[in-house]
Amino acid sequence: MRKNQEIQNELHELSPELARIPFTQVYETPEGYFEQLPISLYKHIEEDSIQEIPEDYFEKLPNEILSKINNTKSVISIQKKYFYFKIAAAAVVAGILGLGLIYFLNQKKTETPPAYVKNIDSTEIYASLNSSNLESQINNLNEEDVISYLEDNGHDVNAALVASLGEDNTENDSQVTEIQAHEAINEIQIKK
Amino acid sequence: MAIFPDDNELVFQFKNASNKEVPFTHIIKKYQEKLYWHIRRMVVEHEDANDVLQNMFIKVWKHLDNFREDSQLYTWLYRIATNESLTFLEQQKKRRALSLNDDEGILINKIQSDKHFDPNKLEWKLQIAMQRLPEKQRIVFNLRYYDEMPYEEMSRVLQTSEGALKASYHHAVKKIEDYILNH
Repeated sequence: MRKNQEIQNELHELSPELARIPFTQVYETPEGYFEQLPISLYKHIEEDSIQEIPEDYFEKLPNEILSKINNTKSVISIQKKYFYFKIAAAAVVAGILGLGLIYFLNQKKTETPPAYVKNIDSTEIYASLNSSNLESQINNLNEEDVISYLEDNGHDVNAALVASLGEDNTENDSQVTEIQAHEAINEIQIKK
Repeated sequence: MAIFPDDNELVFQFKNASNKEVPFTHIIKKYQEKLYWHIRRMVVEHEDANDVLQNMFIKVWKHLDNFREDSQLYTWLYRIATNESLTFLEQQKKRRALSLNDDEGILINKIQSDKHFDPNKLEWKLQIAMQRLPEKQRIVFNLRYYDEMPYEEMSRVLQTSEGALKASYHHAVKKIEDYILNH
């Protein structure tokens, strides 16, 4: 039922058809919604205030970073170092597979394959080359073997190691935590 | 029906009380239903209306200390509720990367999927006709038809001249009437 007669008269003048429509609320709310709303709202306000950064956070941040930089030893992350070896190991495995393929193709022109090769199903070959197998093979490689492979092939191992430090950035920017940010700043300072 | 202190008194209490929750709870209880229905008619679904309403009251909680008494609390609350609803619809549109017409279609689909929806009832035809209106006309119609808001107050909420609001309302009524007569 309308409370404001002036608005009802205006509507009737503009559209008698529309003025005939019952003045009702067609939508519903869950039972007890309005009774619970203040409680639910204060819970959100509390959560919201927890998520807010302290008022003086940015004023204090530079000093906190500098004190952490001063207390940090110059250690290169093992995880990042290992990433370099994974890349190098991938190169080794790819090289071996490539050479094997060339050898196999050359052999095919002149020789009849041995009986055990004939019995290998093509799906087994694909399975042996799939990424998870490749990764597990890479993970099993000895670091020394990788280094000697790189040295034997004329690669600068130290240069590759330094270059790999900047490549281990698999994290999404939005997921970088404050600790990771501090670590990154520390490492920049160490390199200097 | 609960009786609450007037708005100026509530704002004064909020600004000066050590426990702000008491006057703020009064503000919530005084306006929650009106604001909820205003938002609900804009965004259609309850979950969305609840999110918008809660965000809106969180903003009020944060900024009420800076509220200037030269404008009315009631007008200010409606303005925030309207802006929050429009922002919500805009974000929803961007997330779905839809054109304006597609967005209107989404809201109509939401109305049609309400468990009580009856295409033959005039009340439901009115809801669909409202969603087909341009945004500004839809807001003006909502405030005038459902909230029975005088043009003077509406002018403060939407910061538009009374003449322009009257014209918008008249256009909206005519378009709704046309839809109802032809569907």
